[in-house]
Amino acid sequence: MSPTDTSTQTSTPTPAATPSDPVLEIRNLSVDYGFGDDPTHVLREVSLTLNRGEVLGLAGESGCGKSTLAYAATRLLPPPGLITGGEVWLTGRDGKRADLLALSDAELRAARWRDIAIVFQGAMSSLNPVYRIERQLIDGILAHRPRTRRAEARERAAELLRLVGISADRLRSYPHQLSGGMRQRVMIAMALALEPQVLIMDEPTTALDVVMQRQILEQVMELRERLGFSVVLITHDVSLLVEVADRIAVMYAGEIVETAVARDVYAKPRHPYSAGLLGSFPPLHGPRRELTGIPGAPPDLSKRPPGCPFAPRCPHAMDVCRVELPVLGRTAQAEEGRLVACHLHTSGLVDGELPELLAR
Amino acid sequence: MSQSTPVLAAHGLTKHFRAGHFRAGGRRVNGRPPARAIHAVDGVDLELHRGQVLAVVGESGSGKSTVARLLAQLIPFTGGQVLLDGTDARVRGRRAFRAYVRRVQMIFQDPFASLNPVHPVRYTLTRALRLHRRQTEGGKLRGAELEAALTELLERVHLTPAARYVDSYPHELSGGQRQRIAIARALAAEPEVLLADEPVSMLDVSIRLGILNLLADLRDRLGIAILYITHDIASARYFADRTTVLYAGQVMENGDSESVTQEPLHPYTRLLVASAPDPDDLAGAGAAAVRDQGTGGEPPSLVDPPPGCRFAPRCPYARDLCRSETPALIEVAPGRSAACWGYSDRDDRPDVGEVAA
Repeated sequence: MSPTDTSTQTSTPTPAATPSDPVLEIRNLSVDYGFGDDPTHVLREVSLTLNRGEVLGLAGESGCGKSTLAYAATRLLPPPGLITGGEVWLTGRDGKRADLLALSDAELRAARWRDIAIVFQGAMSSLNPVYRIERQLIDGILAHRPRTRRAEARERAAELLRLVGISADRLRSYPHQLSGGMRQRVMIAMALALEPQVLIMDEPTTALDVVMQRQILEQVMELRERLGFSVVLITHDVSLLVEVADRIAVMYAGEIVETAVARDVYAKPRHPYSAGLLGSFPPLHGPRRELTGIPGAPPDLSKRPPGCPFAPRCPHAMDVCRVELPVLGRTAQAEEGRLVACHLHTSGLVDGELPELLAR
Repeated sequence: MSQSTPVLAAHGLTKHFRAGHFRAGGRRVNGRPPARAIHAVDGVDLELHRGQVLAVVGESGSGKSTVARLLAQLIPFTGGQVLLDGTDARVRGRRAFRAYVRRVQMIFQDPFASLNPVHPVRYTLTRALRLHRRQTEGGKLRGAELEAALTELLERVHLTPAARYVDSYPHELSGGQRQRIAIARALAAEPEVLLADEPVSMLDVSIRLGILNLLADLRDRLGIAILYITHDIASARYFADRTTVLYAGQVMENGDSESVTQEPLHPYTRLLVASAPDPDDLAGAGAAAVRDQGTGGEPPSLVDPPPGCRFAPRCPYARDLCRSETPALIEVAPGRSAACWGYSDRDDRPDVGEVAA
């Protein structure tokens, strides 16, 4: 494929942090949309753990609740989104733990950006078009550290730009004078301004080309090693996650249906939806393989049937799937560090063996 | 290369948009600088054959959507030729345009925006049927005949039973179903050519495949020629017979999809292929290759671009020749060509390495 021999330059993937060191713990988070008698339950008791130094990929189709999860966990969810239950525990650098959902407004304001920063989906619309990059970078620094002198903040802004590979003389530019990739880098620089512990990236590269996407993600991964933050990477592109993430959580219809080490999700998917999702991507490299796709369409969350939300599209659906909602539990193979929400993996329910695709 | 006359062909297709002050026309007007031209598409050659899919792959801003719009004649082209069945097909006036779109139909990227939300499917499709079939069948299409035509259209895009969809509004349908309606609308004209501008990029990943398979089915069953515009080179490999790679408004490489993706000739195509996420690449070889390919920089400004290869500023192999003269498409192997000096027989050509096997 490539003319050059790359064996000497292969980057060694960083090992995932020890599982006992969580920096962000989401517990039983539930979110509704709508205040009336009949709200739509978008997230139902979602639990997720982000370990220190880890890149956690959140995969799923549009409308599955992956962005809602990120915004709810940071209390950025706009109405009519309503958090109806759960806890979000953030462990500070000093080891203190705090529930983000229980913080006062002042505490929350201080914690955002300093502890958790978000890179939003469209850099185009997230930067203010009438202010120079410099002012937007400095703004956040001054708001959180009011005693910083302006010259110092300016120095810091220049440093941040250099960090993401933009020369400091771009500080005086307006957003429209930058290309899409540069704007996205500015967004990342802004998010890193206060050295957060957790960086949430919501589809950071969807609007970019593959070449730019790779450049930016590699830069983030390199910065993560240098500055030591953890990343939640939200995207619909599973093949991208397999390459950059340490762990992947697959979401479907407001629920996490599978979590595992990135490579395992790709090599050995345990949930029929994960398997279907992987079978929807045409591979660019390697042999051509038969693509299956997933029949049907993602469900309407306001008309959720009882039982497993994936059952109507699932090739292995059983009677119990249409009645009872599966919960996240061990896989049938009882693997370490893997969870799956599927009746096929609940012992005693399967007549016979697991489908071949899920038993690899 | 061409076995038969292509249904739709473009020769030297060029589109320059005017930038800056609109009426300046080369002179200073009111002290403003003269208008400059954005060279969005520069001398693109394409051939669409019956029963074949041609993919046009490129980054955003490479001019791929402009190519689709030029071929649909939604915007006039600055230079070059569009040939329909071998005859010049530049349309002037409404009548000619309508006769043209009867044979060349377009599918747009966003099915949420391309269907009128206040009208049910029946209206959308009936309108297309009446516009395009009136002359051939004499009189207005109505009654049982219309119903039959509607049902047939919906069945053709696998929306069955048709009765369930014909009276629904776009907001009641999922993205994939909407795109199927948009395809059905295009099929109402019984076209020979479908121009699909990123037909699946707005859809969920799990339903993209269904739409691509539907288009492949139309190609095979009805022998329609399809232009598939995409930024996803992997889907071009899966779906298209031939692939053309576009960069900064110019064709960089041509060939059958499998060889273009597996043995890319042009340095830009190599960069593109190496950048695509690859789950099998656990050693990170792709990432390393991208670093070697010299990714620094971005596509050039298309406002009065300098001479030379447009990829030269980013190309790791570029030499003086590349920066001074624009390479033409060079046939490297049967059916495969690349616009790169590395494949010429000039003495001062750059060394782009062996054609990777």
